Amino acid sequence: MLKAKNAKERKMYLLDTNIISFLVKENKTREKEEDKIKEERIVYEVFKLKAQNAIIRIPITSYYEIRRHIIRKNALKQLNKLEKLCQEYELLYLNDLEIMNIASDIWAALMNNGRPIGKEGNADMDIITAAIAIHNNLTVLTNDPDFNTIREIYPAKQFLFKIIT
Amino acid sequence: MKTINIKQPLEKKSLKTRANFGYLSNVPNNTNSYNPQRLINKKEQKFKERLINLIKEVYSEDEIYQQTYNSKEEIIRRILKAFDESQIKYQLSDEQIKKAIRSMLALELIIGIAPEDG
Repeated sequence: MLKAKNAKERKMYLLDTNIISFLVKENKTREKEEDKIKEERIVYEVFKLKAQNAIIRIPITSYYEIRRHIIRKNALKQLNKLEKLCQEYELLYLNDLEIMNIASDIWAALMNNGRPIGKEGNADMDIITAAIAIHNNLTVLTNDPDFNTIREIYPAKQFLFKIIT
Repeated sequence: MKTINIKQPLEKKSLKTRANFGYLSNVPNNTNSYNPQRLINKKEQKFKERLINLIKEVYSEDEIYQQTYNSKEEIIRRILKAFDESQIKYQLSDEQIKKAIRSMLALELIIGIAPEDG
């Protein structure tokens, strides 16, 4: 579990994969006003937290999601940008069995309560992100309302998230 | 010994006169322009100048920062806006601010980097 030197003063967050996925997409519709507004709002929320000296981390699952698109399209010049991101935001690894225990508990609880999330109940990335956050006492920054469902079905006390709409 | 025209109420005297006579306990004697709001604005302005200089410094650290999806002007606007609302901005050291700026620019760098399918 993560322990910041001055964790009492500095709030700690985890950037959800959905936020990163939205930002990294070379969205041809980004020219649309609504996408531009959404992008600005997301970036602003993160910037605001950084201006408050908050600690923000990125789950290793997000790294995977960005990198696989870059590799698939052979856009290798973009890799150094990803590298820069990893320098500035510490990556959180799946380095503890407890994370996957929490994740599988969440998945089972969702299924057993008839509340699967994602397309055809396939939202492993969200579930793993929630598990990483719970394990490390981090607040998830997300734009995905599915986290409300996770919170309802798996009411871990330390599971906090902030939805950026 | 200092004198004062008693025909005119003290409230109508200049700040300097009022301060000289102890009318305003917290006003320095050597000022005739005490204005808390102006001091706050000055502090804000000073911080903004410091922040802009630090942004420039960070930009010059790595050429990669020139490869952002959004323009430099737009990013600077976003950074200024974010710090504008920070309650602890005056307490942050230059290095802490630069660290925050680096992470802000790193986030801007990944915007639009993953080519879409199809």
